[in-house]
Amino acid sequence: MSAPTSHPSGMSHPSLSQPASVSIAAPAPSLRHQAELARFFPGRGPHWSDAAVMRTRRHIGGCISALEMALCVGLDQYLPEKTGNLVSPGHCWRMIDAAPHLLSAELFAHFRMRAAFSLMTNVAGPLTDTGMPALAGEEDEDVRSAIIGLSLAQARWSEVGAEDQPMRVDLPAEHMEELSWTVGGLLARMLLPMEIVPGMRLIGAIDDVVQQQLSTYDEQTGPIARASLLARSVHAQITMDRLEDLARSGQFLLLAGIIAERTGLDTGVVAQAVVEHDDPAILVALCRVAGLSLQICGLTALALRSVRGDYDDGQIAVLADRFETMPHEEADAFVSSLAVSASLSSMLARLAS
Amino acid sequence: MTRATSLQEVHARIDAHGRIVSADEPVLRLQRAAGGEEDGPLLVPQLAAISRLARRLNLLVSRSVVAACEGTTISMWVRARPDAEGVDLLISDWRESIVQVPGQAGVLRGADVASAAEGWFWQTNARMCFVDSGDIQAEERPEAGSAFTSIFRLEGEQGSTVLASIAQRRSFFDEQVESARVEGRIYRVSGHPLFDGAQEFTGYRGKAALIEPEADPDMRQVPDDLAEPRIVLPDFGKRLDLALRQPLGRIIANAETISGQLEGPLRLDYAGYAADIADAGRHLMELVDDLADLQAIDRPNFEVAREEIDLADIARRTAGLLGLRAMDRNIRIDAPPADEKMLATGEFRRALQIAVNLVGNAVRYSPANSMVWLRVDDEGDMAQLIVADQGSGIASGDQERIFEKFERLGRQDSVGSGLGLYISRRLARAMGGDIRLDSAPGQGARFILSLPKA
Repeated sequence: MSAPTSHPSGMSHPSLSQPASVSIAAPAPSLRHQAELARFFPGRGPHWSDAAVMRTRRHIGGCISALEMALCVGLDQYLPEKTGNLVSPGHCWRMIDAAPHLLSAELFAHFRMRAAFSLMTNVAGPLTDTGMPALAGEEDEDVRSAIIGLSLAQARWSEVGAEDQPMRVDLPAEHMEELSWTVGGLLARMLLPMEIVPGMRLIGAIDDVVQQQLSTYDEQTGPIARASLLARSVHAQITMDRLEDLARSGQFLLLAGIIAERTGLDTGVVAQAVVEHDDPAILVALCRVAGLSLQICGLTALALRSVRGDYDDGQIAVLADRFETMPHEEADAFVSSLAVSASLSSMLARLAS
Repeated sequence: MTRATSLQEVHARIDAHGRIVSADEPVLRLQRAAGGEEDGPLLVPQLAAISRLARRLNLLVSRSVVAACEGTTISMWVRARPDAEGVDLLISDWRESIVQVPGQAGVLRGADVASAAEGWFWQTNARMCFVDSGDIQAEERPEAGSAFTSIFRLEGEQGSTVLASIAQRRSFFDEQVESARVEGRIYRVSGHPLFDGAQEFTGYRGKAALIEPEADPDMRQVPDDLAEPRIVLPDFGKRLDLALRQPLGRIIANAETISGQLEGPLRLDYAGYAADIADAGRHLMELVDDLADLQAIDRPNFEVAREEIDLADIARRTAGLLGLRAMDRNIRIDAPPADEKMLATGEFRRALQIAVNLVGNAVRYSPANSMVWLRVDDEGDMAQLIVADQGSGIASGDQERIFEKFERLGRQDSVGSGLGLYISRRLARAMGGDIRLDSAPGQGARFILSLPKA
């Protein structure tokens, strides 16, 4: 850690006035080494497709830029010096691009998941203005508005553009909190050395702006919460035909919500498991326990090909066989393992690695 | 079985220390079930966790939450909004499901078999302490919380069978047990173990009757010259039922294990034979169930509970239960819409049993790719559940005969015992209603279950 430095305000801030480029311009050697090892020796587990990498970067960059913009606007309202204007658009994304380890593993995994689901939706064709053909005949007004809400939210995830073009930050609360403070920290890191505003005043203003931003945030507007809500409404009555229509029209996030309802898991956990789990058999187990058909399992696996290179023809054939032969007990055990609390899972994974 | 309650929104206010400041009754019910006090720390784990998360993040958190309470699973949508003094919980979409596991209908039916015995009801918790002694004479009523052994002496030869059965969580039927309170008093006791959704033992339910020595034929001394084996028919029927149920259950389970190749691969024809054995076993089990029901309803003192039931709800549940079986033959069951109600008076479980019988018959005897309609209606003081199919119909001359015992209208197939409609009509009549049939050859059949309006 760098020694504490003196600030014009007279107050001392550990490392805060160091130029950004000094400490985080280059990735940590161990991270680079790990990345290269993973690239050359992929082994077991997800082999992310180029599309998944690009879409994930797009989601991270878009969310960071949107937060950066929102915080800069907020800062300009707090500080007469209009410091927010000094931040060049996309600055925080470039800092993260240079030092991706600033994002926690959980947040990074969440971005991979949402990028993956946006790709899987695109694979099945663009969303129509009716949202979900499989539920087009739905007469319940609440369900209809939930369908439209989810369709629009998913459409936002599929927005193409430059990596740092802002996109709506509809993250779960935990990740929203982390990303907001990360972007707040990056802004402070950039603005402090300029010495336009006394350090503590700037820090205090950023603190207030981030708090303000968080106080108005509602995770229920995001696709995961919307998928959960819609799944709650439809999962009990929906027929297998309609479920298969959902899979055919690429509505995998809603299917994840329905699986979550039927297995007692969280929609985010199901979605994460489908995209991230090392063992593709988790997809079979989830479909089996949730009472979904082999066709839905197969369509999901086919859609996952756009995200994970390890879902090749052979792997999908193996999964089809597993669907027929996996004993109920094994499927239940697989699914039960997902119900373990995230903290314990994380610690077990760290201990195992 | 899931039902959305009529609750629109439920509120709770939690202070900065996690204590309940105020809460609506549903939340308080969960709190009490979790062992908490109404103004104490929030002890419902799922709500406490989401409340803490909102406080820690200082963010509005919206999540689906599942909690368990008194045999039901409650799924709800929770929005936890933190502020300086605590957290506001706004709960919507409150849905309660009865914890049900495969085979629970059979367990309940087994408990009914135990209950078909003479005497007064009793029920214990997992620690074998009485929780519900039912409608019995004051002098015999065990106090709630008192031990099973405070009423029934399980030491000694007479109580050993019951003790062994309880230790193994097995049913016992008409076992003679000495009173622990009054010297020389003998009870005849039947009981059936109860398990929850996680297959955890939750206690026993059964019946007990005081044996009057001079009135009980089993207590009489049998003269030496009549010492050859003698069958007392009512007991024989009950014991036959229990003697068949357990071995049949094992046969079915083992045959399913073999046919499902759960223990390893098997030649397909052998797996097919095992599936045939499982099918035949299930058919025999249904027959045993029907015989048990027959025995119960043919008793002169047979009674059913009177409670408010919703025939539309029963129709929807029945459609859910038999939907898969119907789908096998591409038959669609059209149930009443979710918001329709038809309140009646009767015993919920018995009304459901009747509906399952009627719809099961409709599915069984309808052509593939057809429809079965379930409708509710009322006529005068009676509420009606109508089951209509597109089957071959029943000639007017046969329409009363099909309600007779073992009547199968000349069918020789192995499906059905010919007791279902007889039992269903007896049950309907015991509830103050009836079942009638409206049909003609080639025009399908309409079975109309009528029960008194609530």
